[in-house]
Amino acid sequence: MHKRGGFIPVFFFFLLLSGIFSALYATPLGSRSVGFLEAILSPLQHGVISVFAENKTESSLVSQLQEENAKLKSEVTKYQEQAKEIHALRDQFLTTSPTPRSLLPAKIVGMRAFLPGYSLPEQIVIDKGQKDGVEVDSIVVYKDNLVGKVTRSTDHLALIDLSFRKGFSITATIPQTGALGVIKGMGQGELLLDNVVLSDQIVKDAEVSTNGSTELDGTGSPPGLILGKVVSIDKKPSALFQTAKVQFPLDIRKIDTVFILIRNN
Amino acid sequence: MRNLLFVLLIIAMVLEGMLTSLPLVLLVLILMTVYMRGSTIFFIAFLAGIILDILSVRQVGISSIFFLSVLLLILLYERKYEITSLLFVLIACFMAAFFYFLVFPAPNRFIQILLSPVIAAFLYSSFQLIEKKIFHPAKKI
Repeated sequence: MHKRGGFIPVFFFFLLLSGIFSALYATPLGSRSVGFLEAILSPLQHGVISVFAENKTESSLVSQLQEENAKLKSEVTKYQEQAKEIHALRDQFLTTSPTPRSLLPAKIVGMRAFLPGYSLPEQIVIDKGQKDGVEVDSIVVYKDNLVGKVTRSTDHLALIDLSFRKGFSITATIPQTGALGVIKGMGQGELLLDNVVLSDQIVKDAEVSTNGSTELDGTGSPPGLILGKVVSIDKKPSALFQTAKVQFPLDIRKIDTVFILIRNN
Repeated sequence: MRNLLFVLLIIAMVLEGMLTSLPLVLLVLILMTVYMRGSTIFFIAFLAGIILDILSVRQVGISSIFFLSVLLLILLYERKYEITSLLFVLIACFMAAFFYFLVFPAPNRFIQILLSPVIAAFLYSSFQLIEKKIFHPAKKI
């Protein structure tokens, strides 16, 4: 029989310890200690994800055709962008030269969803962190598609918010028509293209890509990354803006490696 | 029985840390409190919370604080009332899951709040059966 009331000092001791851990976490010593623990847990993360990961090999003809189709759509978007640049007036040399970036490959080691393999996750954990050059707000891509943004980064791991997570937003454009708007995450793999003026045209099945919002220090998103495809349009003459539902272009459950845009110092 | 609970806790940490947003660690800790009831549970909750925060890339310590608070409430309740019952497990897990998703929001949270007591009830019933059949086979119901 345990001593009644004897657990309260124990509770306060561990509560205090938790608070100290939480406070120390922000310090270099704390983050190094956590980094050490992350390095120990890393093989477990890789092992578990590889056991539970879906079969990623796509050998069927249908899958190959789908991939070719996606590639061709991506090329069409690029040609449309290039055509716009050629037609624009460019008699002034662009002096701004954002710091060049490189792509850092990272394996997905955490993909928490309600039902693993069935429900869509809204956040993923990758096996690269601050020691590899991953910074908060770094853009994450897969091929030409924008996957999401880094929201938290430790020594060896990083947490990424996928673009369809509620709270995510980024400026976007439809290269086919030149419409400008803001993509907002709605959850469940859906995005909303909002704040599009009525005079701009939104076309069903058109590709939506990033408009580009590079900061002075070279961070931010480059233009031309695919955000998704328009699936439905909501246009009311009495409203100030029109909106469109956009479908996220990838099945994140089938991806095991993503790429982070990092700055070259 | 204790060893079984520890194994279940490790499995819950791995699953919740990497694959699912269901509050499995919280549910197992509540079950451990019902079966073990000593102050050792606070140490286990503290450690489980730290590991879960590292795997989920959360602020380290925040899960521990939540788990410790829930387990304290359960042990304080245990002073007055009996907690070794299915009804208590159902209610405790439902309310704990409700507050868990207030602190750590996740998609499909309402379904997960409703599913949590069901999972806990299944685990509790299984443990009761294991205890009767394997650990105390001669003991009458």
